Amino acid sequence: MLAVARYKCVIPVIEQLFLPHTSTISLNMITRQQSLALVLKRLHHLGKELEKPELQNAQETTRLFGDGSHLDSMGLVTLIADLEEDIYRECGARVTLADEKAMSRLTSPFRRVNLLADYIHEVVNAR
Amino acid sequence: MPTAIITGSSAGIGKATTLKLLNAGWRVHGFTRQLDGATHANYIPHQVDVTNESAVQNAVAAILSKEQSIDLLINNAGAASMNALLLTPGSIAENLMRVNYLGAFYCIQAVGKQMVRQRQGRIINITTVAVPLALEGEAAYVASKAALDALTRVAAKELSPHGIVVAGLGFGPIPTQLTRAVNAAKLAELNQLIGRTNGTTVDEAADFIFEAIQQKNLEAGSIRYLGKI
Repeated sequence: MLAVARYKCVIPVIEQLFLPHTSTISLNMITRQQSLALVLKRLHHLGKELEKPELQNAQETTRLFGDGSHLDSMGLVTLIADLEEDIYRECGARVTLADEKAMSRLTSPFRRVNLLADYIHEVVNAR
Repeated sequence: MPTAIITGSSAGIGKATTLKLLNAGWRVHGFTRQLDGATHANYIPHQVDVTNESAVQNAVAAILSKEQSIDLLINNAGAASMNALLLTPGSIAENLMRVNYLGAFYCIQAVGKQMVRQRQGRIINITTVAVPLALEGEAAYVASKAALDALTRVAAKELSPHGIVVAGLGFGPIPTQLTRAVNAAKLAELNQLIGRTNGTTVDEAADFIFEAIQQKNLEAGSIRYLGKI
């Protein structure tokens, strides 16, 4: 609760869609739930744009890239570019998700929704 | 108001192109290593070394905090060095690659993401006739610009699906800081070779760029030259 109480950056729309009743989020931090909500919301929009219901209804285990995924490289680029802007708009943090750290991981953070949410949570809070 | 970023905007082709865009009603953000004091209501200079990835990212982020969109990126900043291959210090070759190739790479990455979000944009990379002519005495320079040309072609393929057109525009020798040390006879010979006996002025180069920007059907991945190649 103390950690939540420190949070200032509000994500009202996403809260309504996905989050339990929380109040404010730190200007420089994001919760794991909120990073997941960001990814799911953006996938929902992208799924609409690409007419892919699998993305519109994505879950934590949904594969993003690689075998059995629903995104091609163009879709992944769009998702990452849009998410970086989402993070900035919601938390004021300019981050690069496709950085050397992400590329050097044995398990790519872009493979599944949950991994990407973990990575956003880590990157934003590590700044 | 359409918005552009031009690298190397304080001199030569970059400065002339900036003026043309400003006169046509664009807002121009110029990346320069040294602020030159140029003033215009719609010209916003930024002191940026394009070979510094963080500096490029920070400058683009600062622009995006004020602009709704970036419609055009012109990668014009360049460096040149004329030396025989076997007499070219490695440090010079490395610097040319940093400025002519990596600088454009960093700018495309930083601006390209915004253009992906917009689902539209144009990127023009300024190149040289020295690449298709494989000019001797310019190995390091030609190699760095050839890398830029390759980047242009691949970027065009990758970014076209996002509504972004990437193309290259190339010139022969132009009387700028880059060519001031080149032998006059050599310049004349080269101009003769590309059918521009009177050479090319910065204004002519800027006109060529401006016309390409305005073309609705500018071909993605194309590299066009002012002159006969």
